[in-house]
Amino acid sequence: MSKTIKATADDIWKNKVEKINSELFTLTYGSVVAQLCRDFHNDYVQVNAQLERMGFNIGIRLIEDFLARTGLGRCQSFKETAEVVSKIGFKIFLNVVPLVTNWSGDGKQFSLVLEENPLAEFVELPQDDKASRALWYSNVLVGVLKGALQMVQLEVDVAFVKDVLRGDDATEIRLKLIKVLRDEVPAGED
Amino acid sequence: DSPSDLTQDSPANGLLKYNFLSHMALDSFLLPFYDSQKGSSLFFIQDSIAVYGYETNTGLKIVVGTSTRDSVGEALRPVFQQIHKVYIRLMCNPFQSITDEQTLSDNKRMQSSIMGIVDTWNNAQ
Repeated sequence: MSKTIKATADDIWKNKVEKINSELFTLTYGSVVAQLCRDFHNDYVQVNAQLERMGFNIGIRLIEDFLARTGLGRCQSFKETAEVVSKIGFKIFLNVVPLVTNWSGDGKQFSLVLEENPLAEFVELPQDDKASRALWYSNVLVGVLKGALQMVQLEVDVAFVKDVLRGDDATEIRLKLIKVLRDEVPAGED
Repeated sequence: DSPSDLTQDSPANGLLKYNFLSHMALDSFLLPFYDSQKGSSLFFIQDSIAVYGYETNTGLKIVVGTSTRDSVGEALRPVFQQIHKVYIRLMCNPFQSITDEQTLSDNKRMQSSIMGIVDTWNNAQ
């Protein structure tokens, strides 16, 4: 099963995804974060919230592109969702494959560990202590995941727990399934 | 145009000497014989240190001094390019101010990268 997923993702990445220069992408994202920090006068809690909101708006749209590109059907379990997100989603949009790990006993929580983060190339957080304690530089990813998953009827709580930019040993995002939003049967279709 | 010095000597005399050499080098960039198209040029030799300079279109000037006896202008070109890359890496940090010269020389990663380039060059000689 995982070989097929990987092969599918590699094929889509190679043949069906238009590429742009990665430095341009990194610099663009960097300038967004830096501008937000200036606009909010280094209130990093606000900056995190803005990045998440931006990400959410991206995620609710990106999921349509994802489904059209991959032609995938509904996932049968949250575990399958995790595999698809990491091996296909991250692969075709960022060309990285985070590790799926730290599953909770009930199968409703897992972590994505990113060994490389294209958003944060060349980035060093400002030297003042506040940034490295409060800012989640790549928080847009949190919003993207939340928005995308909400559109496929999964309400998921997403948050960064570690970031190498802050001096942690890894970059880790935690996802917790809150509930499956039930499909509403359209009236008259009983 | 005020130089950010990264020197390996800490004694005061050494610092003064490098400060003096870097100011002389900055003046050399303005001289008519300096041709930025050629890559690095030998500016002068003072106190048995040969000083080479390199300027980019954005006005970034890199100055390297070496005590090697032979003329090493061509061989230094990769060194200038590596230093330039280190600078570019620093500039790509969105939180790095381009105009704040103090933070340029305070940045530890940049310092250690440049020391690394210097050590590699010294070991190859």
